[in-house]
Amino acid sequence: MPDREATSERFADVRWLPETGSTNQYVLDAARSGAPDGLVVVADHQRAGRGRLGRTWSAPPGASLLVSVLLRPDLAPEDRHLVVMAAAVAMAEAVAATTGVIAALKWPNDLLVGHRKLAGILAEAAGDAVVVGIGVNLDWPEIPAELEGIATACNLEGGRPTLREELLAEFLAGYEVRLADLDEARTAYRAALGTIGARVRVERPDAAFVGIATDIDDKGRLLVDVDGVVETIAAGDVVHLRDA
Amino acid sequence: MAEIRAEITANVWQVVAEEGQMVAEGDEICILESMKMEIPVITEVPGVVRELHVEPEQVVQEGDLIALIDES
Repeated sequence: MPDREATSERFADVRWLPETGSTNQYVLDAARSGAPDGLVVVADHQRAGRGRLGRTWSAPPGASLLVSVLLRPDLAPEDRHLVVMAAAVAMAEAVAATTGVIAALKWPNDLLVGHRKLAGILAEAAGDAVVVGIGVNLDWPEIPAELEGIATACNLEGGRPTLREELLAEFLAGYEVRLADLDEARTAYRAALGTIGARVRVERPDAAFVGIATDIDDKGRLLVDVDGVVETIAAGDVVHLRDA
Repeated sequence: MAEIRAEITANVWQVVAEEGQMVAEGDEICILESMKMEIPVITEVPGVVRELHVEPEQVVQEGDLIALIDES
């Protein structure tokens, strides 16, 4: 593997692991042991990749960029989601710059091409630390039948061949920039959010409903117009409904 | 009694502690989920969990009471 340094000062400590249980778990453990802001861990393969709510994230070895970043942001708890928002923007920009694939964001921070998921982000808080984990499908030989129409990869979307190191370096440099101006990052996020204007189904533990997503508020919550009543969504699954 | 309250509006993903359980400083009481961030809620004081006011799949608002810890 070529020796490539991240072009970022903040994210200079990049560790490549051939295999791990979960890059997020590795970095969470490091955070609890006092590791500083800026640690980045990349894995070729995860035995136990994680998505939200205990879901799994699986990828064939080498096919995806699997990375977790440790941050100790100086933000109030209700503002920490901004660093996750900034990560979504930075990764979409890095994907576009290195592969040419243009991804839209689905609230809160999936990357989609059409309705197909290209990348997912899971953040986990540990004390004052936030671990931001991202899985980006980069170079898959094919999409398994059960994920047809649901997931995709950069190479399958006609992207230029890209090494994971190249995408990572581009992402880390861009992420450092986005983190330096979170107001600007939020503006870019809103502009890239394919959810705004879409008919969506929102699934929360206590309710499910369909409406039109109209905007995000200044706390990043999704505003959904349900028959004239605006619901504010802080947490939940959002599905972009296909046009009837 | 020490009150543990939600710092943000979120879903309760998992309730880790039980009423009557002895907890040490830093032990997890529950895990919240919001904006695709999972947030463990921990107790900052040791004691016994006297009351749990959340259950899985509940939505909590910022400031809602999650648990009472008896420090005595």
